[in-house]
Amino acid sequence: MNSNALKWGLLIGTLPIFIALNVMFGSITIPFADILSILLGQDSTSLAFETIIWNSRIPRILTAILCGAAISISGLQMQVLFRNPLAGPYILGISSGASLGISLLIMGASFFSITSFVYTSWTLAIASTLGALLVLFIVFVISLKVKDIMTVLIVGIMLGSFTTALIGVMQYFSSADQLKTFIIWTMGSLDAVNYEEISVITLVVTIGILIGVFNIKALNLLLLGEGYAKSMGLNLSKSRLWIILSTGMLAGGITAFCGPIGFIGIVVPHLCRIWFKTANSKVLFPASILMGINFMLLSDFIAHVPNSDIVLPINSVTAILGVPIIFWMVLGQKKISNSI
Amino acid sequence: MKAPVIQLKSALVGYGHREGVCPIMLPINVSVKEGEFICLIGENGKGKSTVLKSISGEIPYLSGEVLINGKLLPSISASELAEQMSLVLTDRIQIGMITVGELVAFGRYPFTNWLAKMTPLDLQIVHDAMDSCGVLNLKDRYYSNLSDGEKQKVAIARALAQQTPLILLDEPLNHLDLINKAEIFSLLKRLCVDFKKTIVISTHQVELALQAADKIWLINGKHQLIETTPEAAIENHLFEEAFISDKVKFDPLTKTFQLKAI
Repeated sequence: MNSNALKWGLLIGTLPIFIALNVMFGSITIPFADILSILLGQDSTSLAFETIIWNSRIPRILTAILCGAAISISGLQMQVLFRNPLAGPYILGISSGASLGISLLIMGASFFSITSFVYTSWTLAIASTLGALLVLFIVFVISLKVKDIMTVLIVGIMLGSFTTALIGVMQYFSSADQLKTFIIWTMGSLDAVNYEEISVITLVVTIGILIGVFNIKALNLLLLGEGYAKSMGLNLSKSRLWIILSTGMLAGGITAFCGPIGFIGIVVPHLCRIWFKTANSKVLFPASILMGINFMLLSDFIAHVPNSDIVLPINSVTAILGVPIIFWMVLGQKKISNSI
Repeated sequence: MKAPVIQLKSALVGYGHREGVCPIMLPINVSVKEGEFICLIGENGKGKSTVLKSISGEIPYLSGEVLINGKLLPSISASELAEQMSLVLTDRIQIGMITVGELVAFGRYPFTNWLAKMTPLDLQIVHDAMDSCGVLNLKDRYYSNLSDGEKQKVAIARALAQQTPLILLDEPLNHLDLINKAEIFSLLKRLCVDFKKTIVISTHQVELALQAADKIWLINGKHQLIETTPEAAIENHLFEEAFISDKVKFDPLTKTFQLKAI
């Protein structure tokens, strides 16, 4: 019990540290005194500093927090629903659906000879949301008709492959500039999200997580297998729909504004399982939220290489940072496949 | 008069197809009283699991009536059924990093609030269930690290924690050694006697069933499910009829199966 308290303390205690790091460091060096006075609402030596803090760093931190929590929770729910350690937030084809929307927007624009198209974050968000909703809707309808959850999983993966193939065709016919725009979107980004967008993400993520909280009981029952879950009064198709809905909102909402944020959705729930040595969703749910936020804040701090102009793709950072941790933890474990 | 815990009236069990229904045995008529220990016996593939699944509501029965505590099965909601009947299924629980205590506590979930909060009473029930099944000392061990026999006792403790008057177990003795089989059998019998539980198990352990069961449900070669007592089954040579083989025969004197020739 004591060691668990220590773990919770660590997860919560690192949050302000990582937030502070992200406020203090970035491409531009801002003196510490200025940062303090800006945060306290006083005058600083440069107006540019204020803009950087309030319009770049703070929104980025808020996005990282929302993103880390949302993606980790959708990954956790998918892993339990499909009883598969490789499942993640995008297993149902949400990211490929979103990618299809984006590639239709970017590359399809030229087909309709819309040459002077402006890619705002809103048009990108709407396109990816429509794409993700389309795929999710198909999965939804099928999960209503199909009893076997593995069939749903296969349908999700196949839809993903199908949309990826469509994207491939479009890419073949698109220009180098269009390709670059698309590829950069797939790398994910927490930048360029403004407060208006953050308020939309906050709403979607809050609802998604609230639904997730209501799913915790079902997630634990599903650990025993569907037969037992049903015998304990769980309405399988109903809880399946709520889990898919929550995942769709969380992963879809983030993907719309930040692109498909990979890796942490699969990895964070595993890190929590290994660290807390439990598969109990009552523990994993809050742990994944905290661990996901920490992971995302740290990755974003590294992505904006301090005191340089370099901004690394966030998806590359999460993977480069996460894989060694996973190796270190997994190789120390006997059976990772048995951990769910 | 109290309604029977389980009652099947001309119930036809089997599987529905697009082309129509496919019953796998003749209509079943049985009635189970509170506190009875019933052993369902029959060769592989004769429909033991189908009978149990039809009673547990996992698959719909084709015609006739299946009543649980006097209520027609399809009209009982899943949550209502969870308060009347608990299951121990054949499929192994594949669960990692869940302790025995947590797993048994899952049995309380039908009675907890939306966050599955355990009251002191729930915790007491979980404790008692583990105690009755002799797994209290395993409380903090991971379920996945247990032996097959221990796992089965934990699965029964989980069902017991659900505090249902009726427990169905589908081949709970598979893969267990002799001692464990005997322990599980006497545990189940004790639950019937001490707690007035009604228990139905499917099993291949005819010898043990003859010693412990109040009633035998025997599926014979003519696709009939016969409700009988151990004594009547032996007297009327039902086992000889149900298990026809040139390799083995039932010996009524020793109440065991004997090899005909080696």
